[in-house]
Amino acid sequence: MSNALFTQWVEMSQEALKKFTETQSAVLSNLGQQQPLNVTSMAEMMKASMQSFQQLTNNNTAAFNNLISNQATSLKLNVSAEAIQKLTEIMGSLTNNAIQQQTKLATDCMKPFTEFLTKLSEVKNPEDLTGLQMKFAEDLGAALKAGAADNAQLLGSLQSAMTVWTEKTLDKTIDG
Amino acid sequence: MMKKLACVLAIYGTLQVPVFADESSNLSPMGADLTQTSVSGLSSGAFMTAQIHSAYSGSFIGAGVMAGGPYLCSKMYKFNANMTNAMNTCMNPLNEYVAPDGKKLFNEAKKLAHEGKIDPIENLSKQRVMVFSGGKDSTVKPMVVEQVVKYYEAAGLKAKDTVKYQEISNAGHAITVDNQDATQCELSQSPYINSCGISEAKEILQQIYGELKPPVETLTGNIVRFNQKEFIKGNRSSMSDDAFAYVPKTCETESCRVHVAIHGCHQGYNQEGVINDNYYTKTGYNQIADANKIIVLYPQAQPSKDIPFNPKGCWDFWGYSDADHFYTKDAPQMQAIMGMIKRLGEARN
Repeated sequence: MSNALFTQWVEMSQEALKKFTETQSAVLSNLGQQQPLNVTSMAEMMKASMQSFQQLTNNNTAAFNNLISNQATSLKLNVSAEAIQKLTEIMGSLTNNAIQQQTKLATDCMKPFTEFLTKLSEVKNPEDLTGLQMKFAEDLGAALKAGAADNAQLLGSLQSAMTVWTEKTLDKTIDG
Repeated sequence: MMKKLACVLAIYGTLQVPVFADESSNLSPMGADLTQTSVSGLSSGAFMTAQIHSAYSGSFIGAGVMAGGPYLCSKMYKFNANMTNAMNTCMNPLNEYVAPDGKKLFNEAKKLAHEGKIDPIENLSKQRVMVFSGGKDSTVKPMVVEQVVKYYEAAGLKAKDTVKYQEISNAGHAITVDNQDATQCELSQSPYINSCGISEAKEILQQIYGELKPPVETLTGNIVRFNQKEFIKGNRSSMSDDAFAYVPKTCETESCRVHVAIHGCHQGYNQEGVINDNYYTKTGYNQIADANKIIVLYPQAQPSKDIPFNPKGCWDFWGYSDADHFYTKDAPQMQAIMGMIKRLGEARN
């Protein structure tokens, strides 16, 4: 029963997270092929990242509304105002956590780029530049990988939180 | 059995004190005073601490929980699998509404005690407990750790007296030490031993045993490496063949107290060369124990990548070693630890 209640939300979140990661990977791949790397490309990547995050948030909101308006009713759950309030709080916590992670990811991605620009003045030959770019790609890849792991963890927390909400709501329905 | 001496360096501040490890021999009886036994742990070791402290409450006088959650946490919500609760509810719940509930868990513990699966829960009301969390710990959030306090308050311990709670605002997920050479305080990275200007080991032992003599600068005793396997039943324990104990010089002839110090995930000595001797030499336990006639026992868990599934070498608080008994007195890991304690209490040969 709990699955029926929040599957759609979770699936939409998963899809958005997947697109988010794919977009970042695609931009990263383009970055790796550019000789030399330029600021515009980095800005493009950050823009794509932000747009993906916006999509993630929108999808969560849409799924949340859908959950409230349709699924809880169709399951004939006695969803009280308090339960809705708790669900709203879970949604708020999810968004807050996602924003924090996005901010951290943006910072973590900027660090290698800043280092790249700083070291650029020390480049003496093409080998130096290639080495520097490879290091940049490696560091950026690590930051994106860590970001993807954080997203997966957040999704796990959401899934668990929704199960707990359902359990508590059902308990109250039975008790009440 | 062939004995081999291995030299281990115990570093305290700038001092390097050689201590010796006796490899592959059985743990010797030491005539310890088992009426003064206590336990503490970090992270999964903290969950194990809460677990063994409740399951065998008749054998302990106090406990220290660092960055861990309350007993039975992985069984908090029945709609979630134990592991789902362990990984989410008990570590990083989205908010307090979906976090564990210490008071409710204590009521579950009472039922288990009534069924005889754990020691009488009333034993807990006489104990002394110290609880630590890190304000920057996103692995096990403070909102989870706070429920350990709620659990013990429900057991009859009064806040600020028998149960103390301290959140170190700038600490990450780690045991904190008063040693500037350790990892930066706010980080959550291996070896999870952070420099925050406070020795949690010292604070815990003081909370449990009362005012203690200050830590020694030069250790008098030895790290003893012993065969842990002899205490392990079955093949799902995910515990190492060997474990360690710090035995102060005075405890070689006198009856000493016993403290069990349980490491966290990724902190066993044989975790692919990451930790080595860090937990049993650099967490500050040995220095305070040396000055106060306390033997420190360091049981060791290790990773198991398939069956049982424990890839990070965590202690079992969700059921990989025995899904039906991991939280009762029949749990393989807890029985092994209790076996080691019992051995230390036996009369010297």
